[in-house]
Amino acid sequence: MNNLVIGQFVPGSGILYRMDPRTKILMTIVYVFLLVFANSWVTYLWSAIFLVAALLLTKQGLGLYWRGIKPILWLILFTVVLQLLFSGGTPVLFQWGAIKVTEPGLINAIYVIVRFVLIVLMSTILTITTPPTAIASAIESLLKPLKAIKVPVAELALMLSIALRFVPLLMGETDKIMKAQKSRGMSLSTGSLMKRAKAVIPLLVPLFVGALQRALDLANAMEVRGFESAEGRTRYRELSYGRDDTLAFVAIAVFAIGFLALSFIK
Amino acid sequence: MVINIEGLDFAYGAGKQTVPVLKNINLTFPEGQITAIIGQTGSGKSTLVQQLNALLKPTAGEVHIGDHTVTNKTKEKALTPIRAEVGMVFQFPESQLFAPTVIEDVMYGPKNFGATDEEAKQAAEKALAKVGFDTSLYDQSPFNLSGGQMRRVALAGVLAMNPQTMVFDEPAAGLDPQGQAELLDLLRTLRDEGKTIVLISHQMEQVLALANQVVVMKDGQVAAHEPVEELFARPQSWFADQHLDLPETIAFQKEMEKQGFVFDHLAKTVDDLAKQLAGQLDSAKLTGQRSDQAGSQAQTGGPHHE
Repeated sequence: MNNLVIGQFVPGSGILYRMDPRTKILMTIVYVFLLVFANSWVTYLWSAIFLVAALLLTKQGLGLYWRGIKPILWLILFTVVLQLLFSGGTPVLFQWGAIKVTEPGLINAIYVIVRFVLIVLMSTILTITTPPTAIASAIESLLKPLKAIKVPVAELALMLSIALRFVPLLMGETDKIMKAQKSRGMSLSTGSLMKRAKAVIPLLVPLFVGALQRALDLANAMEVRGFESAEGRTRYRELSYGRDDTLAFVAIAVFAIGFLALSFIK
Repeated sequence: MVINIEGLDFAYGAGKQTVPVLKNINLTFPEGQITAIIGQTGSGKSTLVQQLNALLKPTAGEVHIGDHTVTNKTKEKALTPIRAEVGMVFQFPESQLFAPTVIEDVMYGPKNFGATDEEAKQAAEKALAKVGFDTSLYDQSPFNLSGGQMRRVALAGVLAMNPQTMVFDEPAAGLDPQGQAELLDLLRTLRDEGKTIVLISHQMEQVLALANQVVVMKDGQVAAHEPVEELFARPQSWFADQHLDLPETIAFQKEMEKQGFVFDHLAKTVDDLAKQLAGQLDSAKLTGQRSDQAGSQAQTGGPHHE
């Protein structure tokens, strides 16, 4: 459970840690958006180079990123199999009964893997280098224009930061309940699929009950400390835009121009 | 069933980011005795007891649980039978309740270990009776009960598996005084039935009243492991170093010793303490004649009460 790297902040140092979280979020969005339009080996290669550069700048061990990819491996495999089997086209590389693997299918499958891994790693870099609270306040700041059309941005941001705050708590709680039920003989890894699905109930019920209780407690704790509205709250850490952010924007601009150029070369 | 820990090291995490918690632990938990584990929060008590039913596997070293041996390489499947032999009651165990009715929740453990519905029901009823749970509430939802009642149901959930060894992680935390007293009685009953009991506690009175032997944990290592009488005979300064308190009766005894009183054994209860004190005071004093020397007299010859 604690091996889950996605969404986890890992303390460290370097330019990616100093950057404004807003910059990092925007960069991630631009990167992922562009990646959707990647259509050739060179564009993927260009994206991969950019990603590796970012990876190295975090100064974290590669093992950490491997652990980030591992939990979603099956998801990647599943998509790959779908791509392989249902892409159609010619030439056919391999056929066994109704199962047919074609060259476009194979190429698509490889593209899908690369795209998946790049997107996941880029978001992992964002969360590894940015504490959840910083992400929440960055999102609030980025959404500010929506206030004009009466979107309760401050409330949304507060809800988000509370939700993020609850993630490690719930993970700890899950671990604890899992151990308690294991001590009573729970086994999630044996039996039929139906049996396994049923085996999760003793885990989920206490988890939900506990989460609701915690939510009530938190609501009360906020009320007694005079919480009325999320609007107009001040911050402990103000966001500030610096030289590192300018550098980052230059980097992402270079990446974007290069990417577009490469995708037209084809 | 004897549990024996040999050369155990344990660290959380994997790869580069490991957090060592336990270092070179060697311990034996004798059959039919109550072993208390005390120590500051963060000293590794909970991590240690989770080795006893193989919820955690040692990073290095071996844990012998009855006929089973757990090492770093033991397969997950081999661990489940151990949990039928070593019952684990976590801190605030009521947070593990899940079933729609009390009786079903208590039956969960026995059924997991292969009991039929009928057998599980019998075991559950027996366990609920043992914790003094009201028969009329068996079909209630556990979530409608009071905190104390929920604790009983959770305890029964582990008792129903009838494990040979039971581990309790601060079982009395948050209970009212009567609930605490009943819990201590339950632990005694279990010990008298021949069960091996491991108890984590911050309440030194509880440790003094129950434990045969005590393990003191400090920074992931065993700072002391000895019979309870020997432990509490250690000087006050030693306890201060471990950030631990002495039980009130013993703290009082030690203060009185500074005043020149001499006791022949550690007072386990207030009653015991009062009797020993009475023995120390000479009859002259008790009849109201003030004796100026009484305080400084090191009295050893007074009548000894048991």
